[in-house]
Amino acid sequence: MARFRNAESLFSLFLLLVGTGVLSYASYSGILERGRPGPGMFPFLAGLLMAAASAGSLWKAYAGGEAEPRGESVDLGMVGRIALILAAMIGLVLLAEPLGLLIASTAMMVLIGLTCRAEPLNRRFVGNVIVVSILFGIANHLFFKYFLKVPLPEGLFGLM
Amino acid sequence: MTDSLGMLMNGILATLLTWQYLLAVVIGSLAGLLIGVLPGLGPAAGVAIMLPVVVTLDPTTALAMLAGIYFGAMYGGAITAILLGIPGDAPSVMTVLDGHPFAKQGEAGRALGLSTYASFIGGLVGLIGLTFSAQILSRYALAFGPSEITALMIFSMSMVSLFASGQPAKGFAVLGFGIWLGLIGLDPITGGPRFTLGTVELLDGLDFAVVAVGLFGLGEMLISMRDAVIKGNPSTYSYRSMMPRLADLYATRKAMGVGSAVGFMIGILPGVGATAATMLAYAAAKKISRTPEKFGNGSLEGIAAPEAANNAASYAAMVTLFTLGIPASATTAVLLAGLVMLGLQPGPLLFQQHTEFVWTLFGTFYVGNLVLVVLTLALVPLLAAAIFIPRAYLYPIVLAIIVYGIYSINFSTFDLLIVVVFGVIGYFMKLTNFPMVPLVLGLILGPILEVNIRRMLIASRGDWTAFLDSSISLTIYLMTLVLLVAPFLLRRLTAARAGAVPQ
Repeated sequence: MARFRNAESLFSLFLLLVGTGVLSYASYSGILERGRPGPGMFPFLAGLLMAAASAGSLWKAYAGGEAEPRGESVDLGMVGRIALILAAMIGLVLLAEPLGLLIASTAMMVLIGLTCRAEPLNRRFVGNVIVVSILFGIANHLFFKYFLKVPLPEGLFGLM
Repeated sequence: MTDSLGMLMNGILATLLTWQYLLAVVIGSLAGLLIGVLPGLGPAAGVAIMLPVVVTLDPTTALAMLAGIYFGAMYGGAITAILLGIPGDAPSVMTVLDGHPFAKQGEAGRALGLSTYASFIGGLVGLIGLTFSAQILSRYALAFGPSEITALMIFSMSMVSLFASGQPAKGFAVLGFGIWLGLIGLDPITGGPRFTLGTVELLDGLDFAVVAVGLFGLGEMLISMRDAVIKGNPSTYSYRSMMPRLADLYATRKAMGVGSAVGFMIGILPGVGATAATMLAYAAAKKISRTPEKFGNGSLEGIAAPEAANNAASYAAMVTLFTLGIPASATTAVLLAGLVMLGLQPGPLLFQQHTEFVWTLFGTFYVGNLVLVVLTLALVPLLAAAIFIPRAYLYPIVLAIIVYGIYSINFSTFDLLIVVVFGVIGYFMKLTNFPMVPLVLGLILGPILEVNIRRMLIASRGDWTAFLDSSISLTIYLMTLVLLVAPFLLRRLTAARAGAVPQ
């Protein structure tokens, strides 16, 4: 088990950085032009709100009484599974056009199915995941393509 | 009032006689029941996942289906709470306390039956409350022009950010983030690109559905990976045991009444939510009970009160959504996104401009509440078994639906990348208790607010007092100010009083 301390403060810091970036963008794009609001006015307000409130949240975490910042225990195996799910989805995005959405989504389903397993990997389980992925993948594809009439990427193989 | 009741009756008849509406109610309710029993998928995630699928339908059918998912999830959560002691969603936590012990005593059928009827009664009370409150509030719709709408948006954003979590700073930080996300794309007045990172795909801005699916759908699935795999043996029951027992209904009438009333009153408050409503209803029912000692050990009143409350609260959350455009919960925030995507702006003018749509939609809610009783009782064994579907099969299926649904919106794989990004953001927000409702509200209302404010300032030649030209907007701004300042002043006052008391 690894221990990720103070995830709350990290997210506040992320918002503070984004807010500061938005504020600096706004200052260049014109907050007020001849007394009238320019394109930068709303980004300025949003950035100010984000930066000030996240700074307040950070301040509260460290100086406002929370002497011991709360830690969040995170199982590294779980982080690995989440990373694999996200990687499978990014892989789908990259492969959808060249391979077609049917093949890419079925491959994604198989990978995610194997990632989310609660039992040890064996031939029967892998076979079940592949069968479920192929059957549902085809049904889902047909539903969107023919019932909802969505033009889906067919890829190099031109499957469905 | 009689006109509205007539329109509501027409809406109910239209739902019963139009196959698309009826099918949407049934499919939505079924999907909601399933989502309600599956831990890791809440009503907000369910509505978000289905959002891209239904946007191609006509608004009434689409909203009837989304609302069916929301209300169905409220019914479904109780099934696993009673049979397995595992709440399907957060509002059914209180049902576990008495529902599961009662089931373990061999009375699972009675508990399931009672929870279903209590849900129906709570839902009915919520619906009647929604009908009358909406009717009263919508009378003032014509008094709302651009200046009043702007004031109302600022009020609702402040209110939701203040109450959505225990820490207002987090709420406002997330609101700012949401407003900024809403600004990505072309400037509505000058037409110049803002925050597009030089990409063509971001010129049109971020789609609500894409962000909502990432935050609520993928984000919730990722966070549920932390939970252990569900193992257990469901309690046994028979269909006959689930049939209504007049004695049980009579014995729990006060608990149901209190639960429904508390649920509606709490549910109407933005940011408080159905879970708090069930807790307060449980406490209130225990207080008025003749046998409070039974609570926690299998009390019928302990099942009836929270179940009535969570359903009443889910309909109450619609009051502010439809009349003021303020979502009271995460699910209603996603529904707000759905309404906007379908070309409808919830708020005071909705009842004036889309009268038939509103009353037909309310008609589908009434029919849906009845349909849910039949479906819940008929499908309990199937739904209870669904909880044991391994994630290895369930999650790939849900993600495949997400992928196709998101692709269908703009026929773009770029949107899928956005879903992944917001899935990660949603995961961290859940992990760190940052509220999501202000983000969705900022994303939806931010761009509308910007256009309103800039147009008004251009028209008034930079005169900011144009925003205070009516008594309604002035009152709303004063209310916003009180809302923002009062907690701070109260804290100072309490601290000063505590300091004055000698130790």
